[in-house]
Amino acid sequence: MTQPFEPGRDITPFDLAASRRGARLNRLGHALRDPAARANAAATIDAANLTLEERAALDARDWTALLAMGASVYALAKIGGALGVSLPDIVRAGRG
Amino acid sequence: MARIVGGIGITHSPAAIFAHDRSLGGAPEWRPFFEPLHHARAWLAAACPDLIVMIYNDHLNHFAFDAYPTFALGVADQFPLAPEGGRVPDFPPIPGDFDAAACIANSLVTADFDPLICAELALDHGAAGPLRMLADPWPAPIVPIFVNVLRAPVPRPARLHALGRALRDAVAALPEDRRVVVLATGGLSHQLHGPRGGEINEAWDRDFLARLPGDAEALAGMTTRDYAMAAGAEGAETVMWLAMRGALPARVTPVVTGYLAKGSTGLGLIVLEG
Repeated sequence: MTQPFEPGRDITPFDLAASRRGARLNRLGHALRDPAARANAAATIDAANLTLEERAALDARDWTALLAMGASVYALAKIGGALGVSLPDIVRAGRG
Repeated sequence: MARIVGGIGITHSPAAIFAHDRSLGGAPEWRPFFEPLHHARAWLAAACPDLIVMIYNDHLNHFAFDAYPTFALGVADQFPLAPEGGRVPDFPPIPGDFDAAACIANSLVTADFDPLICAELALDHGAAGPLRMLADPWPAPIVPIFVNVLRAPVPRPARLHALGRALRDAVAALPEDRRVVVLATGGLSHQLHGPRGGEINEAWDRDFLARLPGDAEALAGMTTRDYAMAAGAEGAETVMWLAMRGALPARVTPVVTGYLAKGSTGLGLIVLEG
């Protein structure tokens, strides 16, 4: 899990543009913190009004694509958790 | 008159909190963090605080991005734990102190810090985790101060340091004799998203711990981007420790320092006495 630090390589901050782009995914992540929503994760996801692209990336567990679509990693942690994927797995997947 | 008896900076890593809750801290792999944590617990017990001002961040477990404060202040008599991962942690609400928080709110706004004032605020692992790692639930009433470190633009490091100085004045203005501990959570380095995921910058983390007591002005003079480049996009939350440092006197003594690079996070701990 622990990776060597690489000085100088750029870091992409999560910003307002990403937050707007990923608003549906980020609302879904926030909703899934709740026990009732998490217990009915499939219905919660269906009700999230995701675009076809977002839904396809989610169904494919394509975390890198979801991040590019504006999902916060903390929203992804909750979406992944509801689908049985841990945050460390998402972190690893991000490395490609 | 109330006074600040010390400050604590501590990670809110879910892995460390999990290890604490399951009593796994005695395992050799965890000892470099949990041994100093043991000393921090002893220090906090001896300090007998009757108020803890806590600077922390939430992780989409209370606030959502549709209306996201830059600073928020909990002004309430208690704070329930936020649901996380589909369950509500099995701990009683954390006690608050309405009168102290209202007084601090008044002082902060007078000093041009204008937080969202929250009568209802649920606290996730970013606040509740460190508090129960440091003491059995719950050691003292808290005044929680939320900081946006998730979504740019975030407050500058110098702004956090200045918030700490404003908190020092706010505590001094409390009408009753109180022993106050200032606690900041988060950090140290971690990068959770993108191609650099999992990187820990141990050299930066150890340097930060060494410099926080005596060189905080320089640490506060760095930019937000400096922090992200050194500590990772998520590890940049370490700036919250500057608020704790700013609340303490110019000269402080580190009485506990701990560090362990583990999993995806540099787990840091420091206890400072004024």
